[in-house]
Amino acid sequence: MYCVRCGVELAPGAKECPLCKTPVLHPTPEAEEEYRPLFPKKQGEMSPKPGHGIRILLIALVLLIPAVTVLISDLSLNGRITWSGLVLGGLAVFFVFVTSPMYGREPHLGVIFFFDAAAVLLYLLYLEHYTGGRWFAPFAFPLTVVFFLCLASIGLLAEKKRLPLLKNLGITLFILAVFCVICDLLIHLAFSQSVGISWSQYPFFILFLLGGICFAVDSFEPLKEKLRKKFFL
Amino acid sequence: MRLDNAAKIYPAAKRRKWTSLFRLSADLDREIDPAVLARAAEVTVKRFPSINVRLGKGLFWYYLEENDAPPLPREDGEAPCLLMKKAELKRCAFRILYYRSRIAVEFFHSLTDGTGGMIFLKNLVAEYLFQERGIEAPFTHGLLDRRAAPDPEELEDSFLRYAGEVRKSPKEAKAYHLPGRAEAYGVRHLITGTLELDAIKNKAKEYGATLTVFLTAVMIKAIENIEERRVPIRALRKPVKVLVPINLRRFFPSRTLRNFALFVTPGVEPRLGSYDLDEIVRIVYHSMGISVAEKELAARIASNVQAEKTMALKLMPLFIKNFAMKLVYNSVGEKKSCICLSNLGQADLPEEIAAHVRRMDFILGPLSMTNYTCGVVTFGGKLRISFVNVVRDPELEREFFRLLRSLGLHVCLESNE
Repeated sequence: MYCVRCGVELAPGAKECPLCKTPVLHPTPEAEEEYRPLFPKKQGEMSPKPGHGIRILLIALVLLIPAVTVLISDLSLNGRITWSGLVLGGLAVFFVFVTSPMYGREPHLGVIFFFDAAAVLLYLLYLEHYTGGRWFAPFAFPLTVVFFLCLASIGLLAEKKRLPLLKNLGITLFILAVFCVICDLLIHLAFSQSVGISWSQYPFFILFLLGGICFAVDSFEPLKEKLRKKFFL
Repeated sequence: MRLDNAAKIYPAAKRRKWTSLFRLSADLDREIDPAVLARAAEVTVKRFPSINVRLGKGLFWYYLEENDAPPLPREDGEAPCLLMKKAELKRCAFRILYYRSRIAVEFFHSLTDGTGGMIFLKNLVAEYLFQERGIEAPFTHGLLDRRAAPDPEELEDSFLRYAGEVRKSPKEAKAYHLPGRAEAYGVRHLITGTLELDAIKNKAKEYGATLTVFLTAVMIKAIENIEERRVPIRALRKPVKVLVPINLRRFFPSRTLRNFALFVTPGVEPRLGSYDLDEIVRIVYHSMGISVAEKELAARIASNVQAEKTMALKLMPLFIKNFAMKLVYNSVGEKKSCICLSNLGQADLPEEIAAHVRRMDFILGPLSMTNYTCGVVTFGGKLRISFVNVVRDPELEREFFRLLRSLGLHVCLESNE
C-alpha cells in the first residue's frame, strides 16, 4: 500500500499515512488482519500529567511573606485585626486567581471561574461586614454571579466552538450588551427599589450594533476581502 | 563508580518532564518468553557492571552504583522512551522491555552511548537465544564471553585517557528552532522509515558522500525548506545545523562500554541564499572533514575534561552544581543545533544469531526543548530511520521522507499511531 500524496509505502493495515494523515483508500480486509501495532498500548494511556502541587505551594509561600508582615504590624499597632483584613483578603483572592488554573490535571474553564467567583464573593462579603453596609445580598452577589457567568460563556464558546475571530468578537459584544442591561437593572432594584433601566440602553444599542456588524462582515466575503486590503499592516 | 565526562550533564539537565533516554531493539523470529528473557538478563548484566546500575546522589557529584539484580523485563508501553522518573533512576537506570517478538533496552544516557548500548543488546539477544534454543555463537561482532569477568578497560572513562594537551572549544551560533504545536503531555510519535541500504548507498555515492554525510545533508535540506516557508524574510533566518554524534572509538583505541562520543554540528547559513542538495553535501563533507579528525577531537575532549577538573567546580555542592548546569544547558544545550541525527552504523551479528533476528531499531528519546530526534541504524541490508517527535504535525518527517522519495528512493513507513 502506498500513500497517494507522499508516495511512500505504508505498513500493512495502516489506516492513514503518518506523514500527511491522508486516509488509505480501499484497504483490503487481509491487510487489516495483518495489522501489527508497533506498541501494545494506545497513546495517552500511560504517563498521566503531573499535578501542580509544588507550584501552588511556592506561590503560597511567597504570598505568606507580605501577609505575615501586614498581620504583625496591624496587631502590634491596634492589638486586633483591622485594616490588615482587607490586605489579607485581597491576597487570598489573588492567590485563588493565580492558582485556579492549576487545580486538577486538566482544569475545566468552568471550574476555574467557579473558584474565582467564590473567592471574589467571600471577599465582598467580608468587605460588607467590615464596612457595615447592606449591599451584598441585593447587589454585589447577583452582579458577581452574572459577571462570571458572562466570562465563562465567552471563554467556553471560544474554547469549544472554535468560531472565526469576527464571530467570536460579535458574540462577546452581544454578551457585553446584555451584561450592561442587567447591571443597570440590578442598580435600580438594589438602590432605588424600582424596576427599570436608564443609562444602559445607550451602550446596549451600540454594542449590539457593533456585534451585528461583526457577524455581517464575517458572512459577507467580498466585504471582508475589501476590509483586509484597506487595513493590512 | 563516577560518571564519565559526557555523562555528567544528563542527570543535571534532567527535568520533571524529560530524562535523556535512548532505545535499542531487536525483533526475533518468535514471540519473546519473558521468563527466559529475565534469566538471560541475569547472566548478561554480570558482564556489564557499568550498565546494570542505579543513579546515586553524593554531596558533590552524582555517582553510579551497581545493582545486584537486573530489572525485571516489562511489556512495552504506548511509545518508545517513556519518561524515566527520579524514583526509577534511583532503582535502576535502564529498562528491559519486550513486545511480541521484540526485545528492547532503554538506557539512561549517563550509562553508555549508542555503541555501548548496542553491544549490550547483542549480548542479551545472544544469551536469550542460547537459553531458549541452545544456539551458540562465536564471540565476534561485539559479542563478549558472558561468563568471563568484566574487563577493566571496558569500564574506564576514556575521555580522561585520551584528552589532548591543548584545549579547544568551538564557539557556535544559535541554530533555527523547528517549530510545532506541542502534543499533550507524555505523547510521543514515532515514525520509522525503512530503506534498502544498497539503494541509498548508491545514491550517496552519486553525490560523492558517505551515508552519514548524505543523510545529514538531506536533513539539512529538509529543515532549510521548512525554514524558508516559515520565515519568509531572509534576513531573519537562522543557521540550519544538525548535531551528529561521532563515535570516538573510531579514532582512539578504546574498548570502553561507557560514553565515548562527541558531536559535530555541520550546517548551512540560509541568510546567504538557498542551497541545493549538491552544495549541502559538499559543505557537510568538508566541514566534517575538518572537525572529525583525531587532533581536533582530542583538543575538544581536553577542554571538556578540564571543566570537570576545576577545583572550584569540584568543591561546589551538588545542588548548586545542578542549578548552574541547568542554567548552562537551558541557554546553550540544545540551541546550537536544529536536531540530533545519530547514525549508529551497521549492526553486525554472527551468522548463527543474525539468522534469527528480523530487524533492529535505534530510537532516541525526545529532548527537552527540541521537538524532533532522529536515530539511524542498519541491519540486514535495511536502513531504518526512526524519528520521534512531540508535536501534532510531523512536518519535518514529511519534508525529509518526501525528499528521499523525490530522489527516487523507495521508503516504507511505520508509526506508533
